[in-house]
Amino acid sequence: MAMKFAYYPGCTAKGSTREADIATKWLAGKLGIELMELVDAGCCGSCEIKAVNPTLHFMLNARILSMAADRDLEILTICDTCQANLLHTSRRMQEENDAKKSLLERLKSAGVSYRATPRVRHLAAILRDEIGVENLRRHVVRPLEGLRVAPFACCHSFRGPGASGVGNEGSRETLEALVALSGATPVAARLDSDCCGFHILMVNEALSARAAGKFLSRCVEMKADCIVTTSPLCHTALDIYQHKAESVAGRRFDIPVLHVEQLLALAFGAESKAIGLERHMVSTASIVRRMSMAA
Amino acid sequence: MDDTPLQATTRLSARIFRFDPATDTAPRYETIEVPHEPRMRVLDVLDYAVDECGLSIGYRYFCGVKRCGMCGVNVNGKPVLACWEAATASMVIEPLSNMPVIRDLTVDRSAFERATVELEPRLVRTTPYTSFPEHYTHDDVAATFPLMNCIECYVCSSTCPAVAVTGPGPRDRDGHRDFVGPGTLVQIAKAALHPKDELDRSGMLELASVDNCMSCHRCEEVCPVGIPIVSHAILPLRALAAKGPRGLARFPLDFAQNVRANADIHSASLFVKAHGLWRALLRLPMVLRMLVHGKTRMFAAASASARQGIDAIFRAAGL
Amino acid sequence: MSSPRAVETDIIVIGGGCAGVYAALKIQTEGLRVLQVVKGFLGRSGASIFAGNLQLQKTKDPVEEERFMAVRARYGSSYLNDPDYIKRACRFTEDVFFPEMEQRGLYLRRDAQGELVTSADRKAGNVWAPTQGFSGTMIMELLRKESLVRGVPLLQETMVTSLLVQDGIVAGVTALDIVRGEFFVIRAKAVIIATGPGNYLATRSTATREQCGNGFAMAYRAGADMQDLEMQWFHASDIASPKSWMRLHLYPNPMPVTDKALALHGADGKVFFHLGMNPKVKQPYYLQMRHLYNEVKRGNADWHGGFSGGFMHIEPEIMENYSYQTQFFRHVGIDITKDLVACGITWHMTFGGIRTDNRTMATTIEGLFAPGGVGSHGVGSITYVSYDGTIAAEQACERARRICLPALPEDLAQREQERVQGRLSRKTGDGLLPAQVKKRIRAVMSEKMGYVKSEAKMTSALGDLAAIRDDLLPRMGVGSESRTWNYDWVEALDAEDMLDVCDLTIRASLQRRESRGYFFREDYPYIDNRNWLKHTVARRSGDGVAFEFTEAAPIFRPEAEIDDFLSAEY
Repeated sequence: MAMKFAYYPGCTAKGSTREADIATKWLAGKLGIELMELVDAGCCGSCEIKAVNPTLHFMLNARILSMAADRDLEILTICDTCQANLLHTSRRMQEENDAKKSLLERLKSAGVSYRATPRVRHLAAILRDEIGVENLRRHVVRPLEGLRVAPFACCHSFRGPGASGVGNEGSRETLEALVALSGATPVAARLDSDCCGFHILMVNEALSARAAGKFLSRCVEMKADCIVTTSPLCHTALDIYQHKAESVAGRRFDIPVLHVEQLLALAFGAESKAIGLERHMVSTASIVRRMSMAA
Repeated sequence: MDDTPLQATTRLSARIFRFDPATDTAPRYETIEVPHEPRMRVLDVLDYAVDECGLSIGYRYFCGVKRCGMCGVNVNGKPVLACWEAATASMVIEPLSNMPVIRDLTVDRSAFERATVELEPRLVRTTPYTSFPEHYTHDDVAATFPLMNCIECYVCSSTCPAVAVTGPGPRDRDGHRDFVGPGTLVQIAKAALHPKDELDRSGMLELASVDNCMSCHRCEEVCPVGIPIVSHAILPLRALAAKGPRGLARFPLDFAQNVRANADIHSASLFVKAHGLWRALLRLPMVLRMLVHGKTRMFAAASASARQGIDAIFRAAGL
Repeated sequence: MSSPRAVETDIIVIGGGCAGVYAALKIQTEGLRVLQVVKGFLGRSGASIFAGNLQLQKTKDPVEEERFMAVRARYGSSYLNDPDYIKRACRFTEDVFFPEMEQRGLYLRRDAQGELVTSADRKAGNVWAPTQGFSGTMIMELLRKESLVRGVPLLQETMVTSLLVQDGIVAGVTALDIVRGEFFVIRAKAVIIATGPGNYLATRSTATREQCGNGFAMAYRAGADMQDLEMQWFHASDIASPKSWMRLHLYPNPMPVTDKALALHGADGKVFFHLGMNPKVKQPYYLQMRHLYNEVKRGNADWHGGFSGGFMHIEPEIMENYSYQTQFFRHVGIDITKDLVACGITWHMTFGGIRTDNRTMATTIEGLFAPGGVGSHGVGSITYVSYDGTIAAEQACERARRICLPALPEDLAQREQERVQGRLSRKTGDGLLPAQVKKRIRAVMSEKMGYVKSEAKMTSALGDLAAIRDDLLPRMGVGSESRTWNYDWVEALDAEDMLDVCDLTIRASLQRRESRGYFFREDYPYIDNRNWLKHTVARRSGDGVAFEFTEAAPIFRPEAEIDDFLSAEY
């Protein structure tokens, strides 16, 4: 099946969670998905630009949308915050009102000719929609049997103005389905009121870590072997800052966090170095050992 | 909306939290069966528990129709208004979180109410009011109109991950305080975004830790009134707070500057800007670990063309 | 019995609605000490939060002012109000209330050009802040913020249980702190009682949960004259289900922007009432009731169902943009563009109340003032009670400056504490919880003191209530003797108050041998202006109640001496 997407990894997947990008490319290669990276796209604004100037926020994202539209490609994201910002903006740009007209004019003055709005989906949704759970299951050569995995869907994937879907096509259900098809056992440790706290890490680290710690504690209590995320930002909070969550909570967690791309890649036969498992702050050695894999 | 269609003959099960701090050492639960009636609300279930089952459950409500904002409870882990939430086949009814329990389902909201009062929720004019009626078009109040139906039920604040489990504490000597929660911020935004408000609230807001909002949108998810809390209250207030004189809440501005200069976020320099050089240096061990694990780049990587494109966007947005 | 919490202030304000808050703010501005005591929470309960429509006044045009007063006298009170009071309250509304509230941030809905949104028939003068059904909530929110930020001394979830009156002079109140179960004795030089017009005395009522006739009961027990308690209003069109939504009102007034209004349909689906049937009457609540009576008699409706409200002829955008209630219909799956909304009647506000002098808000107890709906001078407009509260405050301040703190009637306070404490006792044998007893009281009133009254039904109701007092009350008790937020305890006190007020209301109803406004006696189905342009005045006399009658204000007079009630237009 020939699939080609404009690939927008986002700042974090290119920086502090580069293993997400690496694993994505491995998975794409395995599944015959061609990724055309939007190299000069720049930042989607995260949750900060919209707190400075909403117009600026929409314009930055509209520029990214137009870069994909100019190549006649749909967008594939691997970060739920990027996904939400782009999707929210794409909804705005499909309305017919004065606000949109004003955005178009401003974009033009910045040298951006916005002609069309491309579809924007997270890799997880694309796998579900374009390949399907059954076909994905056929690629499993190393079923992760007995591995207890706690899915952590990003808040932005299922609520807020950029949330994807509701019901069975929703992001939480999709993530759970991907975990299940890999052969692992999903552990429902995430409460709706949880948040990993990423967006306030630089502002109030202790509060952020306290929030992450609530979820991490529950994972340990429910005997999860690892966590899986669909967002490099959640991954950062839960992995890179896990030691901070431990110090706030006054206990150890020692629970590795995988990107969903890595989880699937493992089930599809990838070796650990090929998907960046050595780059995590919380060691993934226990997973590697468990799956009797070569380093 | 109801998940499962319930017929008149269905019996519903309600497991209700009981706790009297004066006499009980721990909470207990009482389970009752309730015959379903068309359109039944959780409030009807609680009334039934007292009137028909003879249970002395403590619960608050005044109006029954989403005006008083006082009947908030957790049902199956989700914070709702008892008068608005449909009764379902199996309910666990508990008090709202983040508020001390007074008795059974009745909680102490005073920390949130006090925070609202302390942040000047009234419209403050310096330009003298002329006469009634003032000239407004409906568009003039577009910023506050979506907030007007907020009845201060604090269901949002009860489930906000940035709010302390016993509610926001009092201000410290310097006026700094815990994150007050979305409910309070909507109330403040009603005044702050009113076209006639002339108070410079930036200093008050940066001290109120408005920037502690995690942007998780849980508040919007649970709001029984459908207030667009994040986009119409929190984001505008964060924008105001960013201009505060102490620079406590200026992170969005630092972030924007970093994007403008680097196209992609350069997290190392953002980290230093946000924490200050000293505090950043104290984190050296963590930085080294990140370097070892390949988790940080020291130098910016985006092309000149990317930076130019981004800069043009900033200029076109008026910045 | 532990010793009570003793508090002293200049003026006590009982009640946290518009009248009470206006009074308390005024007293604070005047520089005197005030303590506001609220059974619920300030600005979160009572009739005030339910004010759905606000009315602009045109008092600067004498012709218009006179016209309005005549309309109000005839259609708003069936000639029982004092038009001079209406004039003063309207002037205050125009000169003070609207400007002050707008200054505080009250937004009356405008259109895109900046014009106030009213109904197409601008004569009705209705405006909304900012949606129909939510105006009172918004007003109280602004007043609450004002009050709390200004630090007006306040006790919430504190139920005043009695007025301390000695030799006809008020000396203070007793109160129960619901949260901690502590008993308060509060001394003052004046007391402003503003507990509102609504009383949850029948199964379906528009009064909020905690409004159980406490204000009327404590005033009556303390010896105040009560007036026109039989003049009980009804809502015809409140939603029939769910039970907890009985206060969800389907307004019969002209809607915003249009001149259309709700229509009432019988069981046969046909319209039996709409605004066009009597265009002179803009707030046609009492006419709805009379037409509904005809349908009930025909078997095409019953009081608690079998009839509906219809919005299908009204543009959906109007309902969507201007009505707070529309979301409720959608929430339970009713599509008002196609479906009818099943309705039932509800007990609404009491036109009468504690007998007041409408110039001073003074009652027959010296130092006790009754502004707002709890007083006998009128009901139904949140803007008028701001006038009441201001006047009461001015009078109370004048008194407080003039006199010394009255001596505390220790024995009264002691006996009251014993009564209150006595209600914190467990039920015995097959005794009921107070909530269950209240339910039975309400059932009696629903069945026998509904819209259609007769001597036989009312006498029977008196008997039923006496039986409840004799049989159920002694065995009634709380489920737990904890003092912490014990709502059973509150409801036990409510049950006693309710029995007093219901009994009194029935006796007053038996006195009035005619029909008028919402007061309908099947055994006297005519408006008798020859004999009954009067107020009924009730006061305690020994163990019973004595009645007296006074003339209603004569400014406007109806043309006919006797009118057939059911076909009269007022």
